[in-house]
Amino acid sequence: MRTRLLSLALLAVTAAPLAAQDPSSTAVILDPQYVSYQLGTGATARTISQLGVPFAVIIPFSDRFNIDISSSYANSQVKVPGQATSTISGLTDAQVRGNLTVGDNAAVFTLGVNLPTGQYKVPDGQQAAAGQIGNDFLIYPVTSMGNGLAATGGIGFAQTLGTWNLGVGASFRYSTAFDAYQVQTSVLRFTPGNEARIRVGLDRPVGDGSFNVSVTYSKFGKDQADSTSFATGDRALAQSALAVPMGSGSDLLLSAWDLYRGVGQQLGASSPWENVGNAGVAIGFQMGDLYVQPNIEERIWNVDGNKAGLLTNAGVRLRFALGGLSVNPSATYSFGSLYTIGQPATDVTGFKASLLIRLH
Amino acid sequence: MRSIRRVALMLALGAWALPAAAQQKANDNIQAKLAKAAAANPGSVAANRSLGIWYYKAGRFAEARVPLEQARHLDPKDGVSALYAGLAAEQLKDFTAAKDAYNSYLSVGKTKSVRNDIRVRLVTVTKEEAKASAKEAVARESQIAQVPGSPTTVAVLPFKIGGADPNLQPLQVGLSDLVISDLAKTKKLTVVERDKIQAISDEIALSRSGQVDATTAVRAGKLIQAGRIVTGSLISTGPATAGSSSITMTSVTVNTQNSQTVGQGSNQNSTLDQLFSAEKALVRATFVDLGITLTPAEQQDVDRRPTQSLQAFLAYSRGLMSEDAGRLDEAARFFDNARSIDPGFNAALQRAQSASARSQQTTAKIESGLRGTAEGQSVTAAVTGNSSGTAPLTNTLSSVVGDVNPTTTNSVAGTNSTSAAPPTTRPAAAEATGHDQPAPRTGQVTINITKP
Repeated sequence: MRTRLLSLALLAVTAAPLAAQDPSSTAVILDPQYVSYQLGTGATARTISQLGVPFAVIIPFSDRFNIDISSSYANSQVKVPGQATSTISGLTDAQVRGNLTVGDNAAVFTLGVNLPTGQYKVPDGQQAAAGQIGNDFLIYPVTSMGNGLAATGGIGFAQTLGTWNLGVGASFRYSTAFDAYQVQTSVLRFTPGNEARIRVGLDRPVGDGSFNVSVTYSKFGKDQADSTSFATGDRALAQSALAVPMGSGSDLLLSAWDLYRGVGQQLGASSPWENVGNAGVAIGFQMGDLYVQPNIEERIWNVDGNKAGLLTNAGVRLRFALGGLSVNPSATYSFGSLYTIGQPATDVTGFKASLLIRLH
Repeated sequence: MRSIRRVALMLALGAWALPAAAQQKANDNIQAKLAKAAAANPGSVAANRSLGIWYYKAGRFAEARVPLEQARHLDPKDGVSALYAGLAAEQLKDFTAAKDAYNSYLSVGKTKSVRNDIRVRLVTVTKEEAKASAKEAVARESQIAQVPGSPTTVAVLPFKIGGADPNLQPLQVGLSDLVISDLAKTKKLTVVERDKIQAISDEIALSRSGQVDATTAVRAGKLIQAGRIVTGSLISTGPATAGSSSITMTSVTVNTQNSQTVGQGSNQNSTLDQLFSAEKALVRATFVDLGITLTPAEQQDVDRRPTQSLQAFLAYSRGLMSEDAGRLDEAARFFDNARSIDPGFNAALQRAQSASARSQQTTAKIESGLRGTAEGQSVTAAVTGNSSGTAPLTNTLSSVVGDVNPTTTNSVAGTNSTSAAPPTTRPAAAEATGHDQPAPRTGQVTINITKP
């Protein structure tokens, strides 16, 4: 079944450009990334690393309709001295999404399908690697190896309000059951709760730059693990960014986001609210044909009112053209701490390298 | 092996050529879309404006003017159409139309910084218009000469400067500027602007020879359509640094219709440090020759001296010469120098500011003033092929889609321009089972599965 779905997805990727009105405008994006965090030091050090290769193809069929197809390959590992390394690798789910614009950029209908081409029935030895990449504080390029067959339908509207653009949208995601984990011969049949989202955002030009701010709220239905129902808490994500040129090819980017998850219930345990806030600054400048953007950001994690993590990321992003390709390498070094009440802080150090390549 | 290299070379060439071809095709599509929209809605201000702006941005200035003028006709209060009509006209060297459109923007335009830029630009455009008019006047000289100028329209030609010190040469324009300024203080006369006189002078090589003979002066007056011309000269016997040097300043007023001298003229013998007194005496004599009686207030105004410093005035005069030659940075430095010698020399300050602003002024700078403004939205709309003239909402809608229906596409497409993107999807199974924690907070969650 999975092989058949994968074949269909690959067929769609291959065939879609042939159907497109203007294949030359098809964009292909490949973003290999390696991320590794070490938690603690010495004999208790835990290393969580991932080589993720997300890729996407965006096919504009007309000015009004485009389809994008995306998936990832990921190899994730959790290493603890003296213990067997937990490793999971392979293709993740594939997403096929169509967007239809109505009017003169007034509204857009979006319909997406999550095809379960990823890793399911994750055995005991791979569960740590499959799960820990989903952490909202230590962000990995691939956060899940499989979420099951799901469909999302949504609509968005945009309207000019003076010098501002207002964008509002709503969507509904319908999820189906899948075999999440396998322990010995038992399989955990898991059905994610359906999700309703609303989003309100504003953006506007600022000089030659831009400013945007938005809030997205997700309301989840009950998850179901075999016969147990529970909900892990609704989510709200606020995002804002200001990008302004500073002359001589340089620019300044200020960005911030905050992810809040409400109180909920996990399988067999309570799930307190948590919040991850992130603020960053980047200054980009042109050195000949090379764009260089040093950046630094601070991230703070709070669980149930208690500080749970602090992380500083410092890095540099580059951008240059290579023929018809836009090449964007970047490297980031991270350091910080994780906190648990009543216990000493755990040092965190990490490294991330990526090489985003975009054709068109 | 050779064929492999050939294929590789072709692929590499293709990789370079494809984006340019794709860009060209995208531009063609936008132009076709806007042209179609304007044709379908000829009464739409936005459709015509967008098409005109697109043509302007594409460097197709003549094609830009038609829809832009149509948009202005449909809505005279549409500032962006007026602005781009002015820019397109200027690019086509139709300075009169550019002035008209720019002045229209000053009346109806909403962006303050652009209005300020336009005011500066109008100085340049006016000078260019004078040059173009001078060329046209010379080309149509036989016709223009038939039309007599009004006796109250006066042109002051550049002064002839004689003597041993070449440092006094800038006074040829400095003195004429001063006399023009003084004569213009009465409303009973129409004094031709120095820019127009300079343009005609340049066109007929009047000042190039330094010999302003009566015939050439009358010819210039006729071309400007002035009924009277004032010619003057300054002869000095010593250097500019020696204030006691003797000077002789003369002037003659001539009727351009019959080339006859009007009145007695002026002949002032003085010293260089009494230059401004001599100039005032010359002006008074000219008013008498022109039959103008000043009111006490006008007389007081005429007697006011912009500066008492000969050196400041010489620096100012050098600035005028540089300005006439189009060397605006140099002109600004001379005017600044004049201002530093005499801080009360307001004309020098104004000229310095104007020359400095004009030296940095370009049509691209004027356009850039619209960015990030409400009027700028119309421009961005045109560039992106939006014939409705409203803001391009493509990015806004794209963000909405990325937030309500996120996929891996959003995370990789956004990596290029933003900081670390937040998690937009929930790893449902990991979160539900607590597997998403980097280290167990309260202990390992154990999954016990009982067979049904």
